[in-house]
Amino acid sequence: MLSGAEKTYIEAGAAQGIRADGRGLLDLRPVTLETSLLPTASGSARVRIGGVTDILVGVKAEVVEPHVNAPDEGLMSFAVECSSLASPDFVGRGGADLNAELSQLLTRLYASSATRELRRGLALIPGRKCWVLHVDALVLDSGGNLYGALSLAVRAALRVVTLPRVVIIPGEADDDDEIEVNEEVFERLSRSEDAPVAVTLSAVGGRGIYIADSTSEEEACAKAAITMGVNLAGRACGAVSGGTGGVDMDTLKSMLKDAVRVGGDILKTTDSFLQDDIARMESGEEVEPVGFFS
Amino acid sequence: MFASPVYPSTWKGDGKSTAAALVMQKAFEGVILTASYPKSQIDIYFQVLQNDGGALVAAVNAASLALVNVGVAMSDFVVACGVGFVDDTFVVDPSSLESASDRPELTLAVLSHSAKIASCQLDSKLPDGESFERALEFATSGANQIFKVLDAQV
Repeated sequence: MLSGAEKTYIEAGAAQGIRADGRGLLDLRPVTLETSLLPTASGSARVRIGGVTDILVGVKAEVVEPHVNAPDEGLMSFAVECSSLASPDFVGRGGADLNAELSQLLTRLYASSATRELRRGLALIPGRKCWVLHVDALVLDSGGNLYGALSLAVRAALRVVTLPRVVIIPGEADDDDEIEVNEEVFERLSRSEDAPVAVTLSAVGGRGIYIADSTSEEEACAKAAITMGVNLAGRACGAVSGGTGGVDMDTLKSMLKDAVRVGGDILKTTDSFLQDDIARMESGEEVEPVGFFS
Repeated sequence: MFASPVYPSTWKGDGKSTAAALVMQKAFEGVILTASYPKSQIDIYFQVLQNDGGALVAAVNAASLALVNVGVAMSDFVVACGVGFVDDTFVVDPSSLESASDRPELTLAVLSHSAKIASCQLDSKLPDGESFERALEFATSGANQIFKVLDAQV
């Protein structure tokens, strides 16, 4: 809820290329990223943006039957829950709509052909058995750029997920192959680096002007926003528009280009930190958790 | 959610959440000096991040700390402790494995200074009348230990 004066301040500032916290239009707030926080999950991560937006993700795996339409792929299910800690609006059924919208975004991000190899890596016996990754996300606090924080936390969790090694034991007939799960040896997901990140660009301050990583106040001023999924290969992995206003075609094209660039920067920077986490994990080194998990 | 070792987690069951909320309400309504806050509502929200038994107990203790952190006027300090019953022995602070559904479990919230009981919940049956008193003793002494730790932080 912003006053008219606050809206004018934000919009006029954006028109001049300046934002309330001093950032440039496409600059991002500082991000804190931690992995492997939840001992009961196969993989987990926590992302905090600007000290306000706070997302916790846990991934659990089980063996199921693959989908009839994609027998050589595994499955991923996404469930986002906005905690009442984030806002009193989310108590009880209050957050149900937002939960559904966020879950749907993640489902869309991981359903494209850009992540097919990731999904294929989850298959065990084509047509009969595959892994399903249950990705649960908890929004602990919301200060803008929920899509970005969520997708980043999910990606970080997937990068560190380890699954027990599965051996296929051939049966006599083709249909008789069985799997044996080796609980002693764990392996990371193949192609987890394909996991995309979502970049939201919000149209604020006039025609052709848009900002990245918006705060909740800036989001309240945005008439339209485009969220695009971007992966390391620079491919688009789904897009969704938001807001009641519209964006003209030239601005949209420019936004899509910038989304790919901003997404690429986020992926490169966070990947260098994730590589450290992964190296520590693989060497068996213990890491002290930071924040209320310590 | 990922809160419990078993997927899907069972804490989210509506009946359990509502019952837990009522326990909280009873425990804290008695100590918060609501007369100091006319025309106001105090909302206390809980989020279970990980649960290996004793979530309700931890929630009560966390709420006490949070209220002190905010500076809400209270007449006493609420502290909780759980007691389970495994193989004919009382165990304080049972883990989720020790809290199997058919075993008795006592969740007790006490007012640490006045030593009064703010809330008491016993699930399942204990072997005889005497056991209930013993369980209460265990829970109270557990609560006092917890109080020392919380008090040191405050």
